[in-house]
Amino acid sequence: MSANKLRLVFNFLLICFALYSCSSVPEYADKEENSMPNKIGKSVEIKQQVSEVTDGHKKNTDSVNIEKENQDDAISIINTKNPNQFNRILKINARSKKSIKDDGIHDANNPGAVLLQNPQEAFSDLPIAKGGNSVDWVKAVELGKIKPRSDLYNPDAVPLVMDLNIIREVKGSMPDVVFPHKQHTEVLDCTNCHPGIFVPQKGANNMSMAKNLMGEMCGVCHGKVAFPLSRCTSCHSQKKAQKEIKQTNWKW
Amino acid sequence: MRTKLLANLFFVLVSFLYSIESNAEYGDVVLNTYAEASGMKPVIFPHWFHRIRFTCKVCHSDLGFELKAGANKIKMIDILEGQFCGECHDGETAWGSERCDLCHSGNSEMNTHVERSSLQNLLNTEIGREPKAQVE
Repeated sequence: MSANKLRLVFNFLLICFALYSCSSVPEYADKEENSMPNKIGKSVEIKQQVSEVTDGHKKNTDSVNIEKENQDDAISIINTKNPNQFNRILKINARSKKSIKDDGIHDANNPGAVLLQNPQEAFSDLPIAKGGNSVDWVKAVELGKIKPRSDLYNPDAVPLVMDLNIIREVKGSMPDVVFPHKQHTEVLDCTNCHPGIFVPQKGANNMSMAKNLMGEMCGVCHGKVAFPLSRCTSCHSQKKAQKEIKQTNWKW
Repeated sequence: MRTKLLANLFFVLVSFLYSIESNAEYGDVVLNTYAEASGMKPVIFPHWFHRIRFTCKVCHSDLGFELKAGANKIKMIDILEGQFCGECHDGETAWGSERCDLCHSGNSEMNTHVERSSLQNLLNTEIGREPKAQVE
């Protein structure tokens, strides 16, 4: 074999390997809902019976193999849920079941990684919310599940809470935004937001969802640490005041 | 021929990168401002662990952490002097700075970013890492 041919074969193998490593299947739907042991078991049994009957007739080994493959395909189709299910390609937001060693950012060879706590262990008792950590942090504090200190040294320090709702009228068709100072001042100081991020003056802050998505304004925390922007109605929570439609009397 | 081979190799490398999936927790901060340049693994800061114990203001106001990943130019000498992380990570309240591997626990070649943040999702959904050119 000439050197050129060898190179070609090598290239072909490389491409094959590349395609193989590309086709890593991410975890889509959660397993609990997928695994319906009784139903799947029954259907598999039926399938096996059917294949036995067909085996009774003399058939080529190839056709039997193809049948088996088809059967496997059928089982895999049964295994996957309804093909028209919701969130077909979205990852389920449920809490990650992987340990901290296999989360993709931690070094698995690090001996210290064993000592680090797994988030699912810490979250086991906390109320569930959609998105982010799948933890409703505000509710967790309200229920007393967690008691975050508001001072490094004094565990009994009480935060300075201001109860003031700011209602921002939004330009689009979404409901108006209600900003509760109470939930924010329970965990933050005034200086965290004012005047660096928000000018404490009505109409002085030009906000948009684009800015939030890029990590500015509310996006400094929301979408990074605090609940994500996908929870629209958590902020856009007040129905817009119905504007009076001016009726004109047409005179012909 | 050599260029083709190189191209294939590059393709394999890129596909490897794509096959890496991140199951990291929302809000985990990867810090690699100085770490890898100094021969250490990147630092992973788990927000979820710390917010169970302290409110945001303790670190972001009292300890002076900026609200942006990588905005605090923290060096080990600052921590040893008891600033920033060193306020708690002193060997009494939390593990001390001799336990290098507990903080410097990240995979190599990761840029400073917040895991699963909306900005990161916008820039890059599959690789799970922010590209080299960061949007300021």
